[in-house]
Amino acid sequence: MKSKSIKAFAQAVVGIVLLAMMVMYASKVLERKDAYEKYEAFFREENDFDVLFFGSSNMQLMINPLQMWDECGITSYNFGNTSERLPVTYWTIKNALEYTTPKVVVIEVSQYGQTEKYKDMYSVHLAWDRFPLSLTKVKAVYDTLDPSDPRHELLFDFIIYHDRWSELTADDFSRNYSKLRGYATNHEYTVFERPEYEFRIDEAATQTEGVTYLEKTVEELQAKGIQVVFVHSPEVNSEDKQARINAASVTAQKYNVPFIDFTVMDNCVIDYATDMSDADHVNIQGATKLTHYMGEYLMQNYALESHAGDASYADWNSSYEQFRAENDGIALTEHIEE
Amino acid sequence: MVYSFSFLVFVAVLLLAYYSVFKNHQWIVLLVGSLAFYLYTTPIYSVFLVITTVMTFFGAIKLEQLSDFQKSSIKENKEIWSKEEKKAFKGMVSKKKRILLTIIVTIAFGMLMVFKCKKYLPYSWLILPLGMSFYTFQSIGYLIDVYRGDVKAERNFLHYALFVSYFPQIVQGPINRFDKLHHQFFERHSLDFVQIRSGLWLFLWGLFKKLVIADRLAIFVNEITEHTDAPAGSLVVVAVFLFNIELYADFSGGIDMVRGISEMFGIRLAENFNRPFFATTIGEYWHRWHISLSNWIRDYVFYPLALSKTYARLSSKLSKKNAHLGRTIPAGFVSVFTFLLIGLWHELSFAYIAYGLWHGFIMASAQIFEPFFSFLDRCFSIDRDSYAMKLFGRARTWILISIGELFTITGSFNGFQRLFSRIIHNFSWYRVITDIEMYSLTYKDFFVVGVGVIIWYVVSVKQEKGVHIRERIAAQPWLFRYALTAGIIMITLIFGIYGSSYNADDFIYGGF
Repeated sequence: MKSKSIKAFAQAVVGIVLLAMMVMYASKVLERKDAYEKYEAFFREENDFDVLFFGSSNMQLMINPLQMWDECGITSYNFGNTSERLPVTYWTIKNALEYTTPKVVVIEVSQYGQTEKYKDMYSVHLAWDRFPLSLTKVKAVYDTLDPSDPRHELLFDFIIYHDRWSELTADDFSRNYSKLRGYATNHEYTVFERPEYEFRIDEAATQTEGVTYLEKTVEELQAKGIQVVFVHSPEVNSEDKQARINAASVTAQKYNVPFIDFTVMDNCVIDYATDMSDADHVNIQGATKLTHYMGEYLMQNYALESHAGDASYADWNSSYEQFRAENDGIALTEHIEE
Repeated sequence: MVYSFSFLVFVAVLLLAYYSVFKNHQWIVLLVGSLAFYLYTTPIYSVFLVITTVMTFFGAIKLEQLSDFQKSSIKENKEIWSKEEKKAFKGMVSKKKRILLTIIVTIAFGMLMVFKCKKYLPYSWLILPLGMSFYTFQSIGYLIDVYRGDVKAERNFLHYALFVSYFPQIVQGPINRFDKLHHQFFERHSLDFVQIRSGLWLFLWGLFKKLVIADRLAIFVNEITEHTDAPAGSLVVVAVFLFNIELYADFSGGIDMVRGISEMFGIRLAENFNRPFFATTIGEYWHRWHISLSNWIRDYVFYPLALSKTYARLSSKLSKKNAHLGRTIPAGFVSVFTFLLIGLWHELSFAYIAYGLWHGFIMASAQIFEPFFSFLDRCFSIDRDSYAMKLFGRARTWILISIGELFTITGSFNGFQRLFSRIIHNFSWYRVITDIEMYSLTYKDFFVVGVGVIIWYVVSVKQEKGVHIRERIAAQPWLFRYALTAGIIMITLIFGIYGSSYNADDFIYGGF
């Protein structure tokens, strides 16, 4: 009788393990691949990153970690993500720091003063889907989303992605991922004139919940000895929006954090006539200039050492070569609004 | 919470507690779990469950006391009372019992009717409390059983409260009978792996039918029937045809899940379906569809009416003119009335009155015109037991049922008119092919539904032949059993309709 029970128990265990493996495999195949493609290189990196970049899509298009590697020999990852609000950024940073300890964290603040915690479920999925289930991820979901939101779908994304069975392609099985370390290239341009702004601070922007999260982010990073830099990408803004972003200088001063605003700085790094993709984002040409500027800035102001020549970073060289091969010589085309 | 992930966790925790406590306390776990479930899902409207439970509990005791008083008084005064005195006393007590029963039944059904008629009242914001139709019918059934002396009145209020509120069945039935269900709660249930596994299989099978077949079809059916302009009549016919499958998959799937969960606790609930679409007549269909409701109506409405004096008088009057009519006309009246009640049980609306009358008239006409049909059979040498005639009977039943569903599919007279008008004036059969992709279901979705229905059909044919599927699976090697279980779980997980890409429909019969 006892041996029969043990046999039944063993069978049940084997059955459950096999089922769990099937669910995990199905989950991998069916998941939407954009988060995997963007973040997989982060999880595959064996060394600690020197710098991490966070923010919205403005950040995603402005810093090219492979170029920074080539020019400065430092490793970085670009976590910039579509429509990402500061509370999501706070939790993205907390999740990322469970896997690496950078010396510097750069946060793009074009979302400064936004009142909502997140813009839409898609952007949150994109930011967090690749992070494995952990206590930090659970806290992130429960803190950011309301009880009426589909929280479980962020923790177990199979709930939402199982529906993709009807649209699977060979790519879903191939597990290819981007080697660009989070950066997204853009080869379009829109001609702008650089706007002039009267410097004004929107005081109300400093009182928003998003700013509370930004302050928490800075406090926690500084407590860990990680340096923080605020940047604002070049944009063509309204006076009101720029006044809101100017308010980031209040937080920067409060925490003694450098704040580089590429939109209003005296010596403009980019050419608005050729380097902007649209009013909010730079193209690859603008990104090249901004990456170069930021690389020099980081090397000059922080104790970052070049890893150039270190064999354990060989993959960075091959990734950079691949990037060059894929992007050199591509002519910019005019951006057409959809 | 109903059938959500939290519900599954709730069931798992309850199972753990159920098999951990002393066996004589297991019913307490079920009662606490049932009350917690109901209070969580229906916090304010729980008061109606309490009223019905209290009223029928004390009512049943009072009815039994009156019966006992009647019996003991007659026994005590056997020698003293004359025949007339005995009769008068019996009549007086019976009248009291009848009045008490009528009051309780009126209040219980009155509360139910207020909710069923809410759209005609200035209280349209009222929401029908979860499972109200089911627990009202179940407790009134018990009360009538006690009134008739068929069961003893329960004297422990908590025992009775569990019978009324038992959580797996309160959402959408089946409507259980006191003598079949109640004693099971107090039997001692040991942890039985085979029983848990069997219950789990039934639950998974129900989940498959609900999520893969019913909820996928619901997308198409709802789009066609709620579309205010221009679905071709041919698409409406397809939608009504598919609605039959959706309704059956939804309701029977839900009942399988309920029965599966209950079996894990060692409690067997009444069957509610017996492959209704294998029925060759509407009469047979009602013996196979929503069995617990049709049996309830049969036992507590049809038989009392058929045995009434009025029925007997009408029957004998007509029999003098024509024996066949004397037998079938009164039965026809009772059929129409009982099916009208079945319609009203769903909702007080044109849709369900028409649905009830339609089924009632078919039942009545089948009996009244039976000699004519037999005559046709003889004329054309038709053997009703032949395979071809059985197939014809099934198709005919399906069509008649579909016409009935056409009344209810939109839930309103205007909706019925609109769909009927499309069928009559704009049938355009070719638009089934040209327009079907205009709606949200793709051919891939229809393929999934098709494969699901074929699997279901094969299982049903086996069951119809008397094969007990779960016993048959249990007799297979363990690897096969696990592969099959994993297979149905994976199919449901991948092809089921759930998650925020689409909001799964609530259980259709949870709305009644």
